[in-house]
Amino acid sequence: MTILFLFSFLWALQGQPTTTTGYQIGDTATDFSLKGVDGKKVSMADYKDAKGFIVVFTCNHCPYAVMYEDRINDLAKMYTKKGYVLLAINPNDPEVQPKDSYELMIERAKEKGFVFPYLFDEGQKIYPQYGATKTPHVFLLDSKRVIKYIGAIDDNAQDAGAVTEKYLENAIASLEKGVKPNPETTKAIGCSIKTKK
Amino acid sequence: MKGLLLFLSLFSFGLNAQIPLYEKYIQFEKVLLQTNQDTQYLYNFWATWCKPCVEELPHFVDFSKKPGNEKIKVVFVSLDSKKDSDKLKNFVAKHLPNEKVIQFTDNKYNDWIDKVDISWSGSIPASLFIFGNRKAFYEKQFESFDDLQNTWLTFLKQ
Repeated sequence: MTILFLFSFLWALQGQPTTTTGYQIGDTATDFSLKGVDGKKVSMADYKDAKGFIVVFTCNHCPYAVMYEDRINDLAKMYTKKGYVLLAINPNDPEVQPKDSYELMIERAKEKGFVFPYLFDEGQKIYPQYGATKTPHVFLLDSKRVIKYIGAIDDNAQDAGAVTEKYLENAIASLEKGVKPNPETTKAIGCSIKTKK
Repeated sequence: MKGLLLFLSLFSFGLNAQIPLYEKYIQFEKVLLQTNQDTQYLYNFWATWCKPCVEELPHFVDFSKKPGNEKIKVVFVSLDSKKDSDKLKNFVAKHLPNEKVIQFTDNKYNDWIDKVDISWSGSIPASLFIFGNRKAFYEKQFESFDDLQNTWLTFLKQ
């Protein structure tokens, strides 16, 4: 009995494993309720008629995220018309990277005229479930929140004009046709998500 | 006279030292593959805009200067884009004046990142250790000179 108690005590100390591999293709993603730059909480459940969700982990400070800002905004404009919902989530801890504070998110969204909800992963609870490791890092979900594509937006972060493969757009086209995207995963190039050490 | 000219041209070369630029992975790969079996190599992938990279650079400079480490070839591989070449040049002149720095600008990361190391998830700083047939890859920020030196010594013992 004592031993059993000791074991459960140790287990409790250890807690949940801190490293998670996150979602794989075909997993059903969790919904969330995160505060957007307009102060309102946003969930995927709010969008009953969505044909799919483009969840982009991104932030203010990362040069790669900045290089993709306009492209993300254009994607939101284009795919909103087609019935998709693009949700951007800032996963960084502002105590580690002050440029990624909620206040500065509001400012950035205003400056750039973001047309999509820009949400704050307060307490950093959502990004580990997804297994996001970078900004920007994209997850494409179908209407039932099943993961269809994970990775980069396209194949050229630095130069939008020199892109030859639009991974995310191709994946959405595949989703529309009801076929598997090719590729289903790519490596998202960007800044590591900032957490306390 | 000839000697003076040579001296002058060397001097001006030093002042305008160009950072070797590799625009395609196929070119950069030649650098990675031209490894001498007896030489130890440390490639540090970084960029001027990457804060954790810039923080760890002094540890690599100390490492390359440490007596006993002369035989290790430390190469700083900047992933700064071509339009930032001047910024890189100024940064190198100030912070890495005596180091071997190259600039690698192939933006098609997904075409080559696995070839450097399959475990590389796509962030920097990252460091690649090579000695003979041994290879180790670290996608992390080294916290101190000791951290780097100890990791290196452990690598050599493998």
